Amino acid sequence: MDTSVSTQQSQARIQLSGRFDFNSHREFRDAVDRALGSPGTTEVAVDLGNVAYLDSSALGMLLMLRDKAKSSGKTVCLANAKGSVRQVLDIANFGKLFPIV
Amino acid sequence: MAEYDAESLLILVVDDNPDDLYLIRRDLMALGHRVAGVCTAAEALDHIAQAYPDVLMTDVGLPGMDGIELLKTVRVRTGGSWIPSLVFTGSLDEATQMRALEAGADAYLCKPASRQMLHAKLGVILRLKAMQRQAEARNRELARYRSLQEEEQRLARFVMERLINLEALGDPAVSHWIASAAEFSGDLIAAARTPGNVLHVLLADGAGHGLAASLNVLPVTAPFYRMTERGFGIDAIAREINSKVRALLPVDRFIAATLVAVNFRERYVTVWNGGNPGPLLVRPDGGVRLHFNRHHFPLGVVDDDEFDGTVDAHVVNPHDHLLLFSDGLIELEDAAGQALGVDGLGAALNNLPADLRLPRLTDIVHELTGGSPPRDDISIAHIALTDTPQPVPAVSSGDSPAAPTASDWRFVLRLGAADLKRLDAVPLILGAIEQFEGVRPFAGRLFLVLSELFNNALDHGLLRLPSSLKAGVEGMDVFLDERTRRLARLEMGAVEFELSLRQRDGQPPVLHISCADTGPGFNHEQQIRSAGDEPSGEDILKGHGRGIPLLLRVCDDVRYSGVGNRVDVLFRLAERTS
Repeated sequence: MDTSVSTQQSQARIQLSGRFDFNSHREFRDAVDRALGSPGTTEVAVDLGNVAYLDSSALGMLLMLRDKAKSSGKTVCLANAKGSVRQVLDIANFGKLFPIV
Repeated sequence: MAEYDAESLLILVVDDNPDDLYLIRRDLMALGHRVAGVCTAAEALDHIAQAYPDVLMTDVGLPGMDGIELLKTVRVRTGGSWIPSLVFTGSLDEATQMRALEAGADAYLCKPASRQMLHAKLGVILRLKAMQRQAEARNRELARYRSLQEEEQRLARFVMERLINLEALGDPAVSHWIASAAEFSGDLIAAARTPGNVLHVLLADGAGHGLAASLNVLPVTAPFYRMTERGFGIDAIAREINSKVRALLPVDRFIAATLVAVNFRERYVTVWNGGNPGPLLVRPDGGVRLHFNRHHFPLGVVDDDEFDGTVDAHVVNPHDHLLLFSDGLIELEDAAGQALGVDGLGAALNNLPADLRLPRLTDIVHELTGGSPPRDDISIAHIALTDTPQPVPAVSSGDSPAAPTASDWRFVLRLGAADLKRLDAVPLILGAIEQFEGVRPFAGRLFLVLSELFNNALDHGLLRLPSSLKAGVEGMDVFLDERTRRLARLEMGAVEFELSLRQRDGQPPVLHISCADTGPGFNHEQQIRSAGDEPSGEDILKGHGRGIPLLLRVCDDVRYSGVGNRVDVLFRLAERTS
């Protein structure tokens, strides 16, 4: 999986591409630290538009992000989830935990 | 001067020219090493057979076996270990150098060599040796780590197998299959029956896979078995496991779980599903009758106050089957990257009789994975909903049901509207009175009696649900939906249980149970009369008798009073002889 982090005004955007699974743990954690660490951001958006596959470990990582963001007073949203990725989020009822935009 | 000054090596030097041997020995000793000098390959081999030198230095041209043959022979004889070797010769001939290197020489030296050159070449060999030692140490460490790991895995697998899949999956109604992505499965299937013969099946999928995922699912088994044994509903069990997982596991670890309850007597199933694909209700011809697709959070994601225990209830045809599966199954992809999906799964089952479905699904998994372990754990449970006649639970042996010694107790429980919504009254009462001497062997039957009394009081007494709602094909669905709706709206009213033990000399002790509700009552006299004869299974299933026939079968006396909102039963704590 590839990650990139960009910041626009108060939103930090984590762009993911490829397979988001248990092998992506380190990359994702680094991206999360960068996104939460960038000054002045109040929201972190995780862009799943280029993610081909997402498994339950990835869901766990999103929960981790949500927890970390909450403790620093920031919000998290998920963007551009579609197809099977969207399905996995729906099955786990994640629409109730994260705004999905 | 150099990094190896401190190290004194034992060097075996082979040279047939005594002058050269002398010079080399002198130089090496001057560099601080110990030297054994021999003139032939045969002598060198003898020496090596006694003790390995740190370094072997040999001339190429020797009488008999030459230096290069010597290297080859040493290599064969010393097997896996390595004696660093240095070849020296007067010739600068490239072919000879090549032969020497191919034979395993680590360095090459032209005679006559200066002491500095000798020192430098030995330096090369020493560095190689140091690397070799490091690699060997790492290998030893790895081997030790690996055997430790293997031992831990062996122990973990042993414990895991005990804790997870095995014993309780003997239920005749459940067939199952699990394929693991790694050595340990993060998927788990468990099945058990309540004292009232309601079958509970749990299919859980811990986040990730392998040992870590397997550890994740451990917190689910104990509450599942313990609470099922006590007769709690699957919503209460799901809530309890949710709290356990939340308390025990880190935030990124959770468990997708499907819990189903099969009520054979009333012919309906209830489903609670969080994070797994919804189960399928499959017709006898293999067609999908229903896809349960309410999705709660997986277990361990939200706190107790956000937990939603809503179950979906559905009346079933006893010849239908319920199919539970983890996402690993429907996420399997074909060569073109197309996932199987729920639709593909449904299509695969079409026209398949029940006994061929599991074999067909395992074939599909093998086809799509090409026989290698799947990317994610896959688990499937196939549950037969065939009606099994409900036996009156046997008096459990072990505990002797002999008359207890003078025991004198009274237990009263009153539940108001708020608690009726969130507590399972029957396991609560049973859990308490079981503690009294002589009661436990009758727990199965008492569960039935208490359940009937409680359901009557709540469903008909307080919620005022007419039994006639249950009539017709969709009856039970309508009844259960209406029950859920009315219970949610219940604001007042209460159910009160009073249990006490009566004991007369020479007689077995009798449990007196009374159950009253604050509802308006019902026409109990007519009910009793119609239930006077031994009930057929049909009568019970029609649900018209408010379970009264069943009460009459198990209890010694059933008496309604008031306006029909109070019932008293006597239950003898002794084996019935009929």
